[in-house]
Amino acid sequence: MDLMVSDKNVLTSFIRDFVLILDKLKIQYIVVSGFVAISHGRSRGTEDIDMIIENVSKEKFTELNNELDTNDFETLQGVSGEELFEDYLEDKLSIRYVRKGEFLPEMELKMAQDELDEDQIKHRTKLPLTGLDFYFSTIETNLAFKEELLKSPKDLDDAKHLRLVYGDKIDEDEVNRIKELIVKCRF
Amino acid sequence: MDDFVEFWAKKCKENMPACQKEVNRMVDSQIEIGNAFYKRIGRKKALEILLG
Repeated sequence: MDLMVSDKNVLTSFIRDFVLILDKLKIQYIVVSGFVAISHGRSRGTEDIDMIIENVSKEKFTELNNELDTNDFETLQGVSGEELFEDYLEDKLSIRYVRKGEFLPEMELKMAQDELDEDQIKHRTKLPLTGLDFYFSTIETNLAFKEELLKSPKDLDDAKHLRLVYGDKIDEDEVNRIKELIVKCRF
Repeated sequence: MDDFVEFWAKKCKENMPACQKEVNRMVDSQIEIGNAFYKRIGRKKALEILLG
């Protein structure tokens, strides 16, 4: 599969290699939050990528963790696949994958934890403006999270950037639907 | 236009690939410098910082 990513870019080649393993194991994922804005040219730094995967069994996750290990990824937590599942994913905490021997960039991986995450994965999409062949949460979802839940200056500037880039292509009814879902699930 | 976010978003709307290229270069440099720092201080200390 051609993921349209130049190997010259550290962050996108890191995501590409990670996503190829998820695709191989048929695990649905979405890239969310900061990298969505950065992949649309937002001028700010980052050292990590936030990713949500669909809810999988411990056995399926262990298979994923083993496959990542085979392909030169390791976790900063440095514990077994079983412990990662029980102590992190089941507790709604993220697992932090890096390339072996490196510290950055990190893939902060979480498993879908509620109706809101399942909704994000259900509506996942590719975003042609990024030039990348990855699945992202929708622009409307990212706006809703950044404006309704996260709200840090950095997040609000990310949202502003996306709003200026997409302009009237943004479905405001959908943004509001997700904001209501955020209130229902996270507050 | 009186803020940088607005200025930069306009630049991206006009030429997204050029905008992405500049940002990618900046992020790559940040990661390279960060990795060099963590390697210099050693794995144990690096993990103490990263994992908190």
